[in-house]
Amino acid sequence: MNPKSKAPTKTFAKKAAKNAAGPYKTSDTPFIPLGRGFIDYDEEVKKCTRFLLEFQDVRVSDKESLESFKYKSMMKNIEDRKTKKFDIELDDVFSYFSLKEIEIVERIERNTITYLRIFTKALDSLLKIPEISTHDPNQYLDSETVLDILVSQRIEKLKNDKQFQQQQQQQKNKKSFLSVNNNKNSDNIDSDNNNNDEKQDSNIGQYSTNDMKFDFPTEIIRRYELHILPRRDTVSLPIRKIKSEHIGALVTLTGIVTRVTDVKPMVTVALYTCDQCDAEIFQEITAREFMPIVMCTSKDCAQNSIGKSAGSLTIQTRGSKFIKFQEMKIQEIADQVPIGHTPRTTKVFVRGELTRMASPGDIVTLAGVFLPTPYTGHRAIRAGLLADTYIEAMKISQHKKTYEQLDLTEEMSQQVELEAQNEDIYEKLARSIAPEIYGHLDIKKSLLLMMIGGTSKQMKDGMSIRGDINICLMGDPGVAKSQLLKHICKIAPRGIYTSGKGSSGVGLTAAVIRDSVTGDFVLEGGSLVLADMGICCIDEFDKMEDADRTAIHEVMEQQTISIAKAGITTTLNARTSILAAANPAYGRYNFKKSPDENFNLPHSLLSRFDLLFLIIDRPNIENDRRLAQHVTHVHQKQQAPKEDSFEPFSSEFIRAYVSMARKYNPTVPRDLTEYIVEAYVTLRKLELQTKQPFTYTTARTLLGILRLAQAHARCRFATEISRLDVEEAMRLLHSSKASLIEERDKKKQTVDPLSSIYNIIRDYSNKYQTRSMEYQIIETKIITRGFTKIQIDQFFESYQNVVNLNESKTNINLL
Amino acid sequence: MTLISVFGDWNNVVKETLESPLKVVNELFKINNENINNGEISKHFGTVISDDDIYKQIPRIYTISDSDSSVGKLVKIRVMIQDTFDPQFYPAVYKIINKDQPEQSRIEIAKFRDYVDLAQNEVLDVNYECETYDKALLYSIPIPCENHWVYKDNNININQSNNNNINSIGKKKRQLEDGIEKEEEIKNSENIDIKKSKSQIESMKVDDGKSNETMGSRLRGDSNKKVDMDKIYNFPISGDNRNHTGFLINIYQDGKDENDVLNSFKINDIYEFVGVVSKFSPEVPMDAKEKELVSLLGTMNFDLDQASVIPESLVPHFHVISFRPINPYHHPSDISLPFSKNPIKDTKVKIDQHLSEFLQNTRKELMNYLNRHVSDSLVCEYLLCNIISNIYSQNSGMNLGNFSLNISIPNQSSLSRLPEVIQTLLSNLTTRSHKFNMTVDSLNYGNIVPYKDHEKNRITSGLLQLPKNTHLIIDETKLNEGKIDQIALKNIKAIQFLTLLQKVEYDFEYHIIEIPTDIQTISISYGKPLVPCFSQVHLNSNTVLTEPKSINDDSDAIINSFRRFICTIMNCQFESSNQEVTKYLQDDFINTRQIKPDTTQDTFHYWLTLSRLLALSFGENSVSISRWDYMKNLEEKRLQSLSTLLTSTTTTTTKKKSTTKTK
Repeated sequence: MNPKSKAPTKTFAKKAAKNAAGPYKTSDTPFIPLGRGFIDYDEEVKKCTRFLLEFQDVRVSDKESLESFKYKSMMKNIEDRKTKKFDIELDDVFSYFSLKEIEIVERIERNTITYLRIFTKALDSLLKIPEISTHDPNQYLDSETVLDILVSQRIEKLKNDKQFQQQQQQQKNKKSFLSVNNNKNSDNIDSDNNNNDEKQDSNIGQYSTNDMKFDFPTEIIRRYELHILPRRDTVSLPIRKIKSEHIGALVTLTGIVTRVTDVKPMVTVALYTCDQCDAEIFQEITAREFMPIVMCTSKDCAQNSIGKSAGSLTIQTRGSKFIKFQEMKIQEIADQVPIGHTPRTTKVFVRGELTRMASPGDIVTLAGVFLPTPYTGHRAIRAGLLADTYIEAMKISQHKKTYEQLDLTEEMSQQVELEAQNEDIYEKLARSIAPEIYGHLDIKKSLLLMMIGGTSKQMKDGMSIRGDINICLMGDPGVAKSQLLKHICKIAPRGIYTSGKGSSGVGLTAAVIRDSVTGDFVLEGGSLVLADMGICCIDEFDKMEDADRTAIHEVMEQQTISIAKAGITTTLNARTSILAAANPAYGRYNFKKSPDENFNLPHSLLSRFDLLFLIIDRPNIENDRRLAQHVTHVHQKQQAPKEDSFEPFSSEFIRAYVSMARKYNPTVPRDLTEYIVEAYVTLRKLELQTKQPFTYTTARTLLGILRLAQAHARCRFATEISRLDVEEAMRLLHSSKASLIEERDKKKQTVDPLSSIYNIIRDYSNKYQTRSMEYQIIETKIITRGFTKIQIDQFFESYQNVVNLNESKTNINLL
Repeated sequence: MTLISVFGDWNNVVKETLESPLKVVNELFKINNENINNGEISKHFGTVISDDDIYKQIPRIYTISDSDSSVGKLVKIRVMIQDTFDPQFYPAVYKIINKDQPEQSRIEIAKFRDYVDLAQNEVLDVNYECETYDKALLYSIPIPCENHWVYKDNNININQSNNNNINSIGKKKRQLEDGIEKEEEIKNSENIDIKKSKSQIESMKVDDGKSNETMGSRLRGDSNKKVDMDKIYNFPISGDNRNHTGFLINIYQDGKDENDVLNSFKINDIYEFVGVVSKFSPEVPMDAKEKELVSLLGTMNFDLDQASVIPESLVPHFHVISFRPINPYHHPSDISLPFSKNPIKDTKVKIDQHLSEFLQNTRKELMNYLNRHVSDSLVCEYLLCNIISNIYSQNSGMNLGNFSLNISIPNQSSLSRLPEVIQTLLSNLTTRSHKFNMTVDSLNYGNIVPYKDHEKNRITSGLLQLPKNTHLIIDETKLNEGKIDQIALKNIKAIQFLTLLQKVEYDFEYHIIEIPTDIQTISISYGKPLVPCFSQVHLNSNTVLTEPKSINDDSDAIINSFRRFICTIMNCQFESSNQEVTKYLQDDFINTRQIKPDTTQDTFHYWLTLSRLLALSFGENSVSISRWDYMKNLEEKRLQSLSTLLTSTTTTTTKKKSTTKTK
């Protein structure tokens, strides 16, 4: 063997198995030097002690207070029995040690179990051994700690001995004796404390504390659970990347919990009593299995039993120390699995306070030590050649994948800041959504705004105004609606894709299900509940079941789901944006019918959508050619053509950008209110004029515009909504119906945009009976009707001899 | 020191390498300690087996009895990976202490073995420290649906030796830890093995309904147990295994694992492994006490690791010394030979003059052949396209080359045997094919979608877990009225997902893993299919079908040329058309759209796929204008044939659904 390669992390089998036994073990023998460079472990203990005593948290301003000494105050808490967990953060270790000693961090990461022992040793010497006082025996009675039980029983014993003596001497006070006897017989500590009358207390008080020195093993006295937490910027490894070189090292990984066992007690110190000499024998247990001691090993027995056998031992569960123990199985999340592979799993051991932190189906990030353990039982036959592995959990945190809780890396937030300076970021982001889907820029823009969303407001009276934007895509088959939906699901941190037709059983809302084990009724959330704080994409919206459709009314405005089934009446939160896709009633949009007939959805539902895109697939030579080129390119080159060297952002970037944008809460400035009102009134008026309205403009529409404007402002990282934002919102509202209006217009006559602009101006002039108008007002009017600035410029150029725009672009004169 | 100096001469080295490879490994280790993990071992074996003659000498094994008779020898297997287990860790070496003579203690390499051979006076040094290495664990099954001619091609020499073996080994019982029941099963299955090998090829040649029935009646007595065996082995299709066994494959890291080889194995890929089968040691049956302990422990922790769920007595452990992936599109005889070259490397064949002529001629003959059995020439054209289709690009969202086909047949008794005819045709022409009878029962109760069994921590296989380039016939004509449940709906959805997108969604309970596949599907239905396909064609009611049995009478030589034709086309290089043609195609689409507005981009996508397949079948390396027009002509005929039975709306909707992907 090459001695150089004998890195400590690779040391195998039995020795590692010793490590594996658990972090709470201290052996009496000095630490075996495990690694290269012969680390002086006594020196390490000193270093750790120094760290625990001297580390000061820089974030605490008061340098003198105990709080600033993070670990000192933690130790205080443990002495005061406030906490059990003692977490050492490697970040603190890193910041504490000087550059010369900094490699200790690396050593800890590589050989965590050894350092857990070192820290335990350091802590044991620092923590005051709790003084066992007999002054207040009550304090031991209600405790679950084994030590306390033992102590209380010792006190009891002494008490009885004393009383016994007293009794023999005086033969008095029978009542007291009886009560004590009762107390003794019931070894239930929960028994009535009132039996201990004060008299007894004073009696016991005569014993000096010196009498109370017991030879408990340190493991029993120890009252904390030590964990070493990884540094904050540690990258989490996919399970498949954990290999033999990680044995013994601290690893961070993310996965989905697939199975958990019940929480079971695991014995760490077993207590035996001898039936001959009453001696108490402690046995420290460090492995999953242990061999119980049968013969008494105490001095008494050894001396007395010459010639006869030593007393046999009985295990005392009450005096043995148990810790909570749970096993978990963790599986890779779908996006960590390379295409064509299947997810890997790994086993996790969870002890003490970390148990019950996760249940099956949860996505967790977990830090722990990767350890081997010898196979047991039947499998041990091959033990010489194989080792089972597991991860000893140090920290478990549940994932909540909403935008707000998304952890951004430094790098990513810098990139976002940088890109946000870019003026066309809005357009670029929109184009990065489903880049392989051709065109549909306005839809993509709306989807972007939907992901960003407006701000939800909570009124004082409990009413809330939703900020989530709902969008419906209605269109002919084969216009890539479903793909857009699926793509949004992938980008959004909490996106759920469901089909209105396909989702059954639990369905969209929620179902009451009888639990197979307990027989109780339990609520199981449907897609809408699962998508709380996210986006719920519902395909085949028109083919939804009626029951679900009713529920969706509530979700889309009140953002809750009320349930009254099988004796359960409750309201669940469903603060979700809804992105729906639907086909027109007759498969394809039929222009001979009215829009209402085509929609196949009740108006009450339609009005709850802020934007309703109608995508109609009609032949158009120019578009068709581009489409044909796109398809042939895909077939020939086997990839989507890259247009104008446009490099789409990754979904991570979009996610990061959206989560940054959602931190802003833009408000509506006073001077803009009037403008919005005006725009709304115009919309209402326009609707009056058309015979067959495409949608009804209601107060909801106004809220919708505000939401969209707010989202657009957020997208700019602005704190205040500007006129531009509102204009963009209005433009989107218009363009959502563009394909319909275009088509209808085409039927009558082909209207070119310029003449429609002229019509707007002429109408305005007729209405107010003036030939001179303010440019600002007119421009707004034109833009809210869905025209672009370029078209306006074009208009003024080609209509020079009819409409006159003055030099400074303030006034328009109709000639 | 070299191996030659240890064994004398090179011939002896080769002989030892084949006969007792582990001895050679240990010798290599003795020569130099570093050899354990510097790639030297695989290098040595690589040089030995890259000699074709030597490679051919390595026996290929299939069954448990094969493995029993060749323990410790170098053998090869060709399998599909069904599941990838979590990796294991093992010490590089172990030390054996001789209790009587401590100076005789020795260190042995722990690779390629499960057990330590200990003499009476020897013990394992449990405190010996050494490095830890990773090994990958895979579960493999015999390649599903492999047609008999492939098997025959590969086993001309093996079958004979098998016959000899079976009789001698049949008596040798494998001891089973799990009780007598399974032992009985083994006996039964071994009996079947003998019967099968006696009745040899004839009964296996055609796996059609009738022979299944006769087989079934013969096996009826053990049918229940038979199913159990298939469950244990996790075969996707039961009754398909020819009594071949699954293997637990151990793959060892050798040298620096820079490309992460151990993590590179994917399910459903086909591999050839060369290595040793480890000794199954029956001397360690669990005694009652131990069983109790295990069951006690079972309540404490998770049952066991994946490997131990599989009874070792049924699944031999295979230790891989050398391996190569197998291109599922290659002709089996191409795969069988040189080991040195790795045929999965995408060496696409360029179509030259010579090849083009061969393809053109064979196409003519193949069309005649198909026409002779199914007289509808239009259906034959589309059938041919389906047979030669394969996915050539499967990027995210894009899926090019899929040409799943639905053949709707008129409700006439004379035509109802079309599924059987096509099945027989495919079993002769393609490397792997299977017919799935879609019935209410098979949908409700059949294993179709593979799922992860978290209890056992394994993937439970289903019909859709098949290697690439497997032809699947979905016979909807067997479907009767009946009630289907939730599972059946899920199953139908999964099959649709397959036919349209060539992806199978494996159910991992908490999430779904999409596994891209390439299973050429043909669905046969009366009228509108339950499973929409990429293309749909209607069988003419005047069609004459031959008896399925008579198909097997054709001469081997000509069938062989057809097989060669199909495999060649799947590996041909295809160029993009020149600008002029491209413009022509695009204009054609635009013009059609002007006339028929419901022609979507998906139709265009469909046309491009079809024209590519047609061009390839004619031995052309790009689509020409004339080929495009040929395609359009065919399409017109197809739509006409469809309109005779179905209203045009149904066809357009199915087509549209079928092609919603891309872009």
